[in-house]
Amino acid sequence: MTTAKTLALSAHNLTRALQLGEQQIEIFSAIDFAVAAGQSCAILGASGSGKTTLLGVLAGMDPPDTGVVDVKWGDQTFNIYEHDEDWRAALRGKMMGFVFQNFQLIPDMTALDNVLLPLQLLNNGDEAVAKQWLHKVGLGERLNHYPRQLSGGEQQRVALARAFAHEPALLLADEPTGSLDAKTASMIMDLLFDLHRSTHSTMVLVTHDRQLAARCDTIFELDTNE
Amino acid sequence: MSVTTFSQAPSMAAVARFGWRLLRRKPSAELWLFLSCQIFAVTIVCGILLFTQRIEWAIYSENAKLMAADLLVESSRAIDQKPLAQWQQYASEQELQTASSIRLSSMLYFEGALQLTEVRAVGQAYPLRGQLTIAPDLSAQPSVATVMPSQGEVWLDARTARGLAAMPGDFVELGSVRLKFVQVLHDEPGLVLPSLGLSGRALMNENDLSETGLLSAGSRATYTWLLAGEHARIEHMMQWLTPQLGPHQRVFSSQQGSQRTTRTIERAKSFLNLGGATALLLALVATLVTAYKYLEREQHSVAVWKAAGFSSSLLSRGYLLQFAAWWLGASVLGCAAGFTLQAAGFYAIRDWVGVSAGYSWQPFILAVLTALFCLVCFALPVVQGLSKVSPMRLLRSGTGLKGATYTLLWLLPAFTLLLHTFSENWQATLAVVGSLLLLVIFCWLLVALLVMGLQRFLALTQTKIMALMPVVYLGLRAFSRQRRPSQIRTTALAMTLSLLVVVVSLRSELLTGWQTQIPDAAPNYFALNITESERDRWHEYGDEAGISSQGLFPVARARLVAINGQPTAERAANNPDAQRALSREMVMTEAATLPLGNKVVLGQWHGNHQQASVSVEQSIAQQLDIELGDKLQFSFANQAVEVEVGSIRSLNWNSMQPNFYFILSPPLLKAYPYTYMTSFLAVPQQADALYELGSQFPAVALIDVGDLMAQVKSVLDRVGLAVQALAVVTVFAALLVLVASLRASLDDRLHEQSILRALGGQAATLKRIAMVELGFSGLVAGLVGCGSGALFVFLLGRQVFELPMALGLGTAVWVLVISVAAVIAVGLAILNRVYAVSPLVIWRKS
Repeated sequence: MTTAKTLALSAHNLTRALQLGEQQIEIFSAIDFAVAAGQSCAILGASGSGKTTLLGVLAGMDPPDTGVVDVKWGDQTFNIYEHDEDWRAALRGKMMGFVFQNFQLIPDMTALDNVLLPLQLLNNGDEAVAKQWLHKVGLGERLNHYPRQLSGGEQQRVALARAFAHEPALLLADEPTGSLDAKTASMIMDLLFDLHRSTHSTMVLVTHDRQLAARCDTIFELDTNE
Repeated sequence: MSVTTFSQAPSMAAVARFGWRLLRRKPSAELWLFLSCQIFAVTIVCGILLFTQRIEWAIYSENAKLMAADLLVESSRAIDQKPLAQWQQYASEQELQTASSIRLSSMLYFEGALQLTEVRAVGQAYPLRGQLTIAPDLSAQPSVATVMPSQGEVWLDARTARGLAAMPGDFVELGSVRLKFVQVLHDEPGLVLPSLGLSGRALMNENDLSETGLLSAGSRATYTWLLAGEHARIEHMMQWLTPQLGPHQRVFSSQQGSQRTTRTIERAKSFLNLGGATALLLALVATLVTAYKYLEREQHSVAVWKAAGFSSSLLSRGYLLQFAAWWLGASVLGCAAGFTLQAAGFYAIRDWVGVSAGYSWQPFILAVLTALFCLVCFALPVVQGLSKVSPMRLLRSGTGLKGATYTLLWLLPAFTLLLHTFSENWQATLAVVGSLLLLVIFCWLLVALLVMGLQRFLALTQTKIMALMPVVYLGLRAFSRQRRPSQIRTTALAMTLSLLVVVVSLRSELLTGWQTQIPDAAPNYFALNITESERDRWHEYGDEAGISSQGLFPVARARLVAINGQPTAERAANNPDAQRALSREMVMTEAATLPLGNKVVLGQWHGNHQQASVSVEQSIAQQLDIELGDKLQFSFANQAVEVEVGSIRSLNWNSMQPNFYFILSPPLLKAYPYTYMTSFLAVPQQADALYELGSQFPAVALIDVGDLMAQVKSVLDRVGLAVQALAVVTVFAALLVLVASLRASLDDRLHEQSILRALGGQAATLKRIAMVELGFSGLVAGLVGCGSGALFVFLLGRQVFELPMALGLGTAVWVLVISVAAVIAVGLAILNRVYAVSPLVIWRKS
């Protein structure tokens, strides 16, 4: 799959609350959010401000209590929550890539298999593509190593290769350097932005780091009082 | 604060407070499963032991009814007063009831008619077990007799009454007394051990017997001393009595029953031991899996407590206290569940079982001991593992578990000890443990081999399968990737399926095998005492009445007195089986043609050509250590005859034909007094012809083995119930292992599936992948289960149950289908949560 078309993402009037026992905790309410095609946007906020929840809602994983999430794909625009979970999963599989704070690699799979598996789920499963992406992130020699045999930085690079292997139109990254030391974090962010630019993908980056957020085209700040 | 203050042991109050705090926490799913497994283990032990014990008691009770007693001593001579008085005294000390009866054959006379009859003289205490049914006349419905015949009275069965043409109220003559015929005798206990030689039956008062003058020196009578009482006391009495018996005395207990039922019960007990042990082992494996998972879960809490300053000893004791409370809870709940289950099972079959069997405390004690074993084997290593958890875990995740590995080392000896507590027999325990160990190793290796083969296959064909069937590829890949959990799950399941295969095979072979071997037109009557002069007339009458005999065998009684010149008493001195075989006169025959159902296994059939030759049945040859060419000396009515063993035979005891341990070459036997015996089939519509047969041949004894077969079947049905109940329990235990192992992998699966769903995997696709993985696991378990089960069935049949057994193709297919379907169904039921939860929830948790 190629990203000949670009993807823009927008959300209107989003509200999300969690039910904890008898108590309802509002995480955010009446949020409007937008990121233009091919642009990068940082969601900035303190711990507990609802950054990850917002990312989940934007990714189609967590239906909001109110509001809509629109994806503009070429000339078409559709509200992703008008469709069922399987449709949204397929959308994620084809158009979105994920990078998580804790890498979220499958521990009993090699680096190659971790990159290959999402491709296989898409009925593609081209091993050459997976290898190529691992080479791109500098892990060409570590294809058959398991996550436990890789450092934190290397694991996050496997996660980046996995996120970009199917050339997604939208990349969603949740505190991708949260578990890394400063030097490794900087290297990973450089790599992430390089890949974002080279693939012309749209990127939403969740972070609490203002410096990192400043590298994005736009910043969307969430605060607990909002 | 001094330095020693830090190393002080925690106070009891502190331990109790901490233990209480642990108990009050909201139980996790792992804890529930761990407790459920413990409770299940206790339930199995309590339920199975209670159920089988009660079924066993019901069987013994049935046997006792057939014998009229729980224990009896039979003697071919009057039992001396001195030892009898001692026995009576001891029986009374043991609080056992006693009675006696004397059985003999004699002619009854009535108005010129005479009838050879088996007469039993009894006192009012007879029978101690079971009941007699009588009717006031030949056509009346029988009812239970509440008293025995008074002095001067006799009860006659219908055949004797018809043979004599006597009616109730008539006086019949027996020896030198006249007895009034007052009741028609119907059912009578004691028929399971019919003596050869008599036909009609009569029951009289023991006080009249001496007046008959029939008990002269040398008269052939059987003296029986009967006992009844509590199970353990009867066993004790038997052990006390056996060494004191003389050469003419034999002891029978209701636990021995008839040879055929005894063999079946012994087989069933062997199976119940093995099956119960397997179910228990599976429950223990499930407990082990969940204990390990619980340990894994608790590590974080322990690390936090340690970081907060809780000492290792406080934590250890607190956790121990918690486990002790669980032990108590599991014991109480498990015993209650076990009791309820067996009571429900027994209630469901109360009409069928027909007796109310009591309870003993033993199953409850053993069940509580089982829970204690669980505590020692699983809780202590968990506590040990938790006490070693480092608070560094909070800073650096992945600090490994310690101590849990040793649990496996505890399991085997503890399990062996536990089994021994049940069986109280080291040989049986080691045989069961050894068999299970072999089964585990066999299944484990076979599964490992299949997983390795699959990995290799997938590596070679990855691209092709992926292109053709991506879901199948990913499912198989998931199975081979999670090698260790897959292997544990599949091995446990394969073991259960092995057992299922054994159950199914035994169900047909062990319980109905001998019945199905009996052809539909098998004889149901034996006729004895046909004289040479009656032989032709017998054939003629049979042809007229449509009763065709299976061939007449000349028979004579003889005693085996020496083998190769050595007296048999010496030879059998150390062999109780052989002593038992030699203690009675044997029924001999001669034949030139090998009888139907017999097969020569050693040597050559003598036919008509050899002289003074004998063919010996193989089991008796084994018992008496008889080999080809040995010289056997028999005593026929005090005349000795020596013959050489020409062949060893096997025969089908279920053929319902006359079967013989010794067959002489003709014309050896006919040199001594002999009669003929035969067997034939008579349907109920031929009842009149049978009565007529009795009148025509008054001296001929007819034995209705149809009743005997029905009695044996009723015992076998009860055994079948126990086996089936156990199969259900074992399947449940296997499901528990399946649930435990899937539940143990649930966290990892939730995590993995959330990643895959976040990356675009559709729930339906992931579910299909899981179905392939689970289905393949079921298939491998089914294949290994069938393979090991077939081997096990073969070995069990050959070594333990002495039956030719093999696994049928139909059974194998069913096992495979059930295995695949069950694993997919249970797996999806448990894993459904994985697909129902939003990936974000798990993502947030991780």
